[in-house]
Amino acid sequence: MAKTTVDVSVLPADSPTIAGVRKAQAKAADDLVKARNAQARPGVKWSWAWGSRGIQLTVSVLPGGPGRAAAPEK
Amino acid sequence: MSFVPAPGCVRVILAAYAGDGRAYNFIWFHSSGSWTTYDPFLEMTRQEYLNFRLEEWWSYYMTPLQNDATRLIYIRSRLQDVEDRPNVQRDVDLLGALSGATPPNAALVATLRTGFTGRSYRGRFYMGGIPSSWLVTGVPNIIYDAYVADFLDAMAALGGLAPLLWKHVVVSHFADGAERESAVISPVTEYTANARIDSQRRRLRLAT
Repeated sequence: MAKTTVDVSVLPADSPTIAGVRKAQAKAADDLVKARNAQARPGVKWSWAWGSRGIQLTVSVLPGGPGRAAAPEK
Repeated sequence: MSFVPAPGCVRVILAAYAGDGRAYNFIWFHSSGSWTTYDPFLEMTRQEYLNFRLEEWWSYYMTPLQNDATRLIYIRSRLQDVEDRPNVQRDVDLLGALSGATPPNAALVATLRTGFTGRSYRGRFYMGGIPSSWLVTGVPNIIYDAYVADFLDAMAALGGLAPLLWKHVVVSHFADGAERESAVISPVTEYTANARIDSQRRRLRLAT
């Protein structure tokens, strides 16, 4: 596990504008998600999105197969 | 609060020493087969096998993420179909691998999603034992994203421990503030987290 150079959770100090900061964060998140998807197990998919607490990472797993719980009721 | 049955479900408590207190995690699994029948292939019951696999999971995925003031001490599962089912407990001793402790209530939180909207279909998993070495220098309460990603990787592995035997699920006991007659069970399809350190004060209140 390596600490990334430009981290999605850290504001780059040398970035002059908020837009520049967000662009750097988005690029770092893109890179991280690409790297994780490249080595993900079958049925696992990584993505990211802007959330109320900055960038949020998501990992999706495929449901289904025997033993799946019943669909929820209303 | 009365007992709300969750047919086919097992509630697991992961208990850890965290600093001077204890921290508990509750996770739920559903199986359409029997949890309690001896399985000659597994050489144990499905419930015992779940505890066994959870020990493996914690050892492989979680101890490398945790500080050395955090130690998992037992895994306790209990069927939730009727009240007064016995606990099935597996005593373990799994110490975090990284130095530098943070307060025991400091946690990363993963939101569990099921593909359905509404509070009944979301859950949370709090992971304490965060090592201070992974906190971003000079930024309070933020942890490096590589750590967050590894945490989510562990959560995805939890969901895929034995997909043919059981599913990691979210269980809802309430609807609009009233107890349900029977719990609603939804398989987890997504784990989401951000880099902010969170705290769950209930974790401290539960400490004994």
